[in-house]
Amino acid sequence: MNIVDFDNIHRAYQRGADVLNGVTFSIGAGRVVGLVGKNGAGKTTLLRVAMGMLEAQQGAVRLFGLDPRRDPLEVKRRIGFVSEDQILPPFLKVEQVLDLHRGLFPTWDDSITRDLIDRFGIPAQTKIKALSKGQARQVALLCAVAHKPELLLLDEPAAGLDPASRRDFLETSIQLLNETGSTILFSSHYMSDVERLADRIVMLHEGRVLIDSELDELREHYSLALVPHNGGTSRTTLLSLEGCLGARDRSDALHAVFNLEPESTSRLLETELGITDLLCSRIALEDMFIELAGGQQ
Amino acid sequence: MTTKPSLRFRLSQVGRDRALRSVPLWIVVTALNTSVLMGVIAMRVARDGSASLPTRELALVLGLALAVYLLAGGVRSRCRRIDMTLPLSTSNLWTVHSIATYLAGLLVLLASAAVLATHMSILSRRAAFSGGGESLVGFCAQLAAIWFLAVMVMQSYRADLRKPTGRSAFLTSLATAVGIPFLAALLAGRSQSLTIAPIAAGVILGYRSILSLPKCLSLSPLEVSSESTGAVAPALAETSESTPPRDQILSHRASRRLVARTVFHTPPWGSATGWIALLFVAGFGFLMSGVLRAWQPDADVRLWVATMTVYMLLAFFAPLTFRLPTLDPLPVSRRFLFALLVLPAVFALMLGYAGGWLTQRYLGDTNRTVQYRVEMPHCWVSVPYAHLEVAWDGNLPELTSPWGETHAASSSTLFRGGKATLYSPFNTPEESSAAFEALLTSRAIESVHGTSIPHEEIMERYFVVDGDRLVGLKQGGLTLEEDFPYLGRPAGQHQFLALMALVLIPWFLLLAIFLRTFRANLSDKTRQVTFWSLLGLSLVLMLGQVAMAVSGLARPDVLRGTMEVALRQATSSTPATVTLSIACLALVIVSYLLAQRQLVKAEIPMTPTKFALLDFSQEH
Repeated sequence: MNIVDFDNIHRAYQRGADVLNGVTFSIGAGRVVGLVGKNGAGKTTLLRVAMGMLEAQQGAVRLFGLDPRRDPLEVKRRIGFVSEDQILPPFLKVEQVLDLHRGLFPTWDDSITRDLIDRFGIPAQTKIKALSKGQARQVALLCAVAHKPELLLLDEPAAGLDPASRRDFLETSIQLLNETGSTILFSSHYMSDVERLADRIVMLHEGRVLIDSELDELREHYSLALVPHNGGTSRTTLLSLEGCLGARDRSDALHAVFNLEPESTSRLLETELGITDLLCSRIALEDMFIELAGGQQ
Repeated sequence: MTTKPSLRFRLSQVGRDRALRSVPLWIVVTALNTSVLMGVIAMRVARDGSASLPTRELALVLGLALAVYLLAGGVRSRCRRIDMTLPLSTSNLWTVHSIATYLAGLLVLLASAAVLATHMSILSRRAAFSGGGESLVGFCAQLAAIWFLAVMVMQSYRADLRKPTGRSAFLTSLATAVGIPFLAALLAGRSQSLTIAPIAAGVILGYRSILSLPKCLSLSPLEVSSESTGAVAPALAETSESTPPRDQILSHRASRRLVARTVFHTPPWGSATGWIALLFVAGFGFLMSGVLRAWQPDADVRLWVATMTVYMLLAFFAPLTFRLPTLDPLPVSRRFLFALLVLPAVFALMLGYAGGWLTQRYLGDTNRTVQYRVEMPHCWVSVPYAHLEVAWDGNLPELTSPWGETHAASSSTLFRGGKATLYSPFNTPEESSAAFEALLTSRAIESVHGTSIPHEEIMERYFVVDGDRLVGLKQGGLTLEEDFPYLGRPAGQHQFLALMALVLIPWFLLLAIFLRTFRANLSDKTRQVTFWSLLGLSLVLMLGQVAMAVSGLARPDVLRGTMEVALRQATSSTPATVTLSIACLALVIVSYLLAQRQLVKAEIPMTPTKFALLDFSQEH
């Protein structure tokens, strides 16, 4: 059984401006999925729909086979959630925040709590409002993982943290959860984090799933073609080719991303458009993000 | 080298100041508050039969407007964070904020004065009130001087900080705020030359403050908080690996307590907000029990208090939604959250009501017994309102004795020009014989106590006719309870449930509409506008009664009497009482569930919406 099922999810905040426009994908148990996309692509909305904090206007979402709007408690007890704008009660001490969570999650594990408190060096007697942003985020993560959730949803969890804290924070939590076989869906703007941690990438663009691929497959089977301007090839022509995910008109050349290996892409462009003087190579995730989400598709 | 900002730039700085920018909102708030307070004063004065409005109370109303603004109007923040990054001197920031705050206060004062003037003009036309002998302009001049002193006090406290925070800063604000109406009441009616005193004190304070200004403002005080920063909580270090069930139950309870604490720890005053709100609600419950009648028999303000309670409950609910985004991702049931949001207020209301009821019993409620009131030249049999009657078609029956003496009953129409009339079958405005008065008293006793005492005995024991053939009571008065102990105290009406329903049903229904706006596709502004509209609606219900009384459209006591009669008729038998109680309870539960359903379906925004007036001028 899938842990997460999104089926044709639509959601708008204003009439005629869908933030999610038919998102469909599923996540099996034990997978670590990176959700990427530029600002406004719908990542946060999708994660909030998954949490049951927003209702899908069309389509169905199922977590552990349950509807998060109909069985919110059942679902939330099995989820750990950290978001960028999540606010812990600022007037409570760290240990009181942990007490609050301990009682709400039957599977709370104090050994994980102790371990993470030690590892992060969180002062347990300090009020949340007196912590630094990074420490507060660490407490939030601690609360999200200490009950060994079956699913961890992280919405830009490391935003605003310094590189060392970010890596420590993410790797610690993901290692911990991998040990218990939890599933993780996390959104991030840091492609290095996504490449390091995820085994599958879902890229959202304008409310739709643009890419849903295993990371290895992405590395092997996607390519970037730099088509020189002098041949008279246009963006539209490139986009009409099968396998072309996006094309941008840049000053040096036309940049086109293909869902093909570099050799196949070269062959395709040569046979279909007669272009021979092009550069074709594998594409790094960050470059792919920039090429596909960077506008002028 | 720093160049001095131009006058134009300084003026734009003043215009951008948070204190001045929040003024439009505060003008509305002040107008509403002043209206409510004037309504209270007008009703009190009307009841006392006084022909003039009390000077001191008018000054207090103006002072309170400024006090509320000082506490919540963004006076404490001396500048925005971004201003600290600009090449502006501390004295510039200090002066700009002082001017802006002072001007903002003056505008609030003028708004309050304008509302006062309007009320006074209406009252003087309708009820021949006079303005208390003191001119409003005089009050305003005094208040302007007091406000200057208040601004200087606020600006001189921790002048090195962008915004003084913490307990001592709050206490300073509170003391200053309390001082404003206090000084206003002190100076009211005294010589205008005394106005110079607060101005002088303000100038001295301001001068000292300017001299002590540092080169730069600070975001937080230099002193370090003494809070412990121990690395690991001992409780955590000693906890066993697996949590046993009993501990799980305990931690579940602890967790619920912390959820409750989180909900109630809301701006503007942290955990005090919830307690203050509950205290107010309990106070309203106390008044709703009709306890005031124990001190003053005619002071029955239950109906008015009931509508005011709806307003207050709604006003206090909105700030409690502030922490919902914090709890939303957690497995906390929305039904539990809703109960947490509303039930403490319901219990506080009931507790207050119970307190009022017990106080009445302790003090002795004479309103529930038959009395004979003598206020020459008129005497009459007084019974509880519930024992009066209503003639819906306006045809009043005559009061007739077995010996043929007939008189018209005392009556009053419900609405001016309407037919429905409330009348007393035990009271006639016409001159009648002593035997007739004794007969009416006997009938009243039977109605109220359910026991008959022959009118001849009443006549012999209590009534006397003097030389001018005027009817009166013998020495000692109508001592029914002493002379006829078997009469007992008449049971009170079953008003508790009806009054609770009168408050809770509208509150829950308004909440349902309000919570319906918690949808992600609705903006903060929509939520705010809805909330304020609903608040306005409940205010109209409250002020409508005052307006009806002042305009002479309907008398509040007659309306109240009619409701009590209707309630008595509806509870005339045990099955009827049970049916009515069940109906009230069912309606309360249905409206509760309607509101609860809206919270269950709500999409809580991640950033809390600012609803409370105080939120608009606070940083959280």
